[in-house]
Amino acid sequence: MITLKPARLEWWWMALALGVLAVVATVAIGYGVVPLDAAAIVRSMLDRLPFVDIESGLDERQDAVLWAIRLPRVVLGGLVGATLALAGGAYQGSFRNPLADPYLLGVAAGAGLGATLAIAYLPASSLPISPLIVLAFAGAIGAVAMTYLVGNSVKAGRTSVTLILAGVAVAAFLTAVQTYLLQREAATLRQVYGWILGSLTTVGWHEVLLILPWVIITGGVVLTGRSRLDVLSVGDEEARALGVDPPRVRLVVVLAATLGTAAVVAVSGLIGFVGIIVPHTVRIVFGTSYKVVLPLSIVYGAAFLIVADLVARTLISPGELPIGVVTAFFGAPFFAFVLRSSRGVGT
Amino acid sequence: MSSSVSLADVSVELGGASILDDVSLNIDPGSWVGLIGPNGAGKTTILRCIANAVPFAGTVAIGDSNVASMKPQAVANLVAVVPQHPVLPQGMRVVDYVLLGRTPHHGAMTSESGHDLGVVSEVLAALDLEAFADRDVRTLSGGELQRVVIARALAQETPVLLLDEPTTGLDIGSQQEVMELIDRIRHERRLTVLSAMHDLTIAGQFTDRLLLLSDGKLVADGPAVDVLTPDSIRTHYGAAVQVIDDGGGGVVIIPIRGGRSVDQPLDKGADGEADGASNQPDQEILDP
Repeated sequence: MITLKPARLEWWWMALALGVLAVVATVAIGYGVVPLDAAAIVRSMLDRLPFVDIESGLDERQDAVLWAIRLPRVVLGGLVGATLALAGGAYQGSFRNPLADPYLLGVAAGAGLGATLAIAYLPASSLPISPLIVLAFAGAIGAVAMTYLVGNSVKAGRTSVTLILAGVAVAAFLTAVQTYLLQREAATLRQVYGWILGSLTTVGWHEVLLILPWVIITGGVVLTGRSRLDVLSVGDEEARALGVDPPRVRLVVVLAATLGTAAVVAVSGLIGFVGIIVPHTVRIVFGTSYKVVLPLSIVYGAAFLIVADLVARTLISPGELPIGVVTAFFGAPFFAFVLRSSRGVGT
Repeated sequence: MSSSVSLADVSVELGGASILDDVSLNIDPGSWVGLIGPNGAGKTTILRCIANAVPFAGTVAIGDSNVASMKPQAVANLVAVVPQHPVLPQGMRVVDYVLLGRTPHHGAMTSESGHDLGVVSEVLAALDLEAFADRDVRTLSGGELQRVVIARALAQETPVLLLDEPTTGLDIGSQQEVMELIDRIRHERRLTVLSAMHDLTIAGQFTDRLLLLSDGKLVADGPAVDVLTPDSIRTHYGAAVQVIDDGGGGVVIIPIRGGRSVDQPLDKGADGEADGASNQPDQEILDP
């Protein structure tokens, strides 16, 4: 009898990924107008642990930059990147479609319309949560709910493609409404456009705490479904013959991925490309099983977006590039390179 | 672990067209039954009914279990399906593909255990596939692939095995190899096997019994020598054939070119090869 080596996540793959993330995060926290020393960053973090008292060596100003600006921003970038990459992998597995990304079922159009409404008609107020975040989140969830309603109203010959087409229709409709509003309220155009291109500008931990519960739910549910997504890769009919209920798996995984995506889009705008590039790069390097792709996408997604944000805020410093521009401008050539050295991807 | 399969008054309609019309049949535990019939006769649909993969009227039972009221996981613990055109996922290796067969034995949350790997390892050994364990499923030849898909079905450890056209697209050597393989494992594991077949000669040689379907109806049921007559083949397939008893319970079906008359040499060739007088009464050439 031979020893079988089924696809599984090797511990050292994950250790490598976490190492990359740690290095990237430390560099991103340290780099900026006020430079922070890596050792001092670690000391300051340890100092915040209960029962630990270490002198970080940072002065008051540096300490404020670390805890109120850099760290929240890097953590937010990590959460957004991790969620978009995981959601992208989940969508690709659910729909057996390599081009699927987290915005497939109308999340982007719905969040865009919500953000436009908020910017045009609900100026920032003293509310505890900005109306922009609330409306963008509600718009994203509402759009996917509409897509499911339209898709499920189809009587005969319903497949996963039906749902994707319903998403196309819903997105087109919502984008039309948004464009009309933008034409009427031309003064908001620049602000809305800036939001669409994405940004991780944040002061303090408000946004991080806002999205954290959603991100945890998404991660837990999607990771739980990882071996089911491997079964779906043989198509709905065979998956069913293997004891899986494909529409149910798809519903649970897609809804979980959508919740997390809606939450991160609401605070960071429509950052493109992460949900496609990260899972595919992991697939090409480490193998196609979702037991491998999903956990590694979380970590590399976080690392990728932290790097992209670092580039966004330093390249034309003191100005800032929209992070969506950076993910595409540097992500696309990198992905082309990865594609070139692979044996090709398909369904 | 063998189990009977029975259909009572099963009908299927798809898009207003009747695909199966009131089919009733019983398959004994441990037997191998061949489903034959022209394209569109309903062979695949019968298999899909037994696997509860299509809505149907009537009753389908495996042993005492009524499949219509069962969840996919419960059905997958009783019936394994070898599809005619399996979907081959990109980048999946044989070991992972066969391991998919263990899915119905998991809960919704858990993934494979040491026991699952043991079953897969044993199935790969039984089908002589150990050397292929790390191969990408998309790089296999037709015969190798068919063995791998059968391995996945066996890893399900079900009492009933359904095969849809297991020899289609294979060369004649691979066809025989696959059929011998099915015959060996169904005896070893005491499986109840139902296979849809296009090649009538091979179907007759390997199965215990044949069911002939035509236009969604069951029109003949019995051993090959009774079901595969020139008359029934002409009526249901619209084909002109010569049927020779092979002396071993099977028959050899020889297609005859349209327009050929009874006097032409085929008759002589058949005589030369036949093993004595036993085949004489069954010999008949149709005038198309």
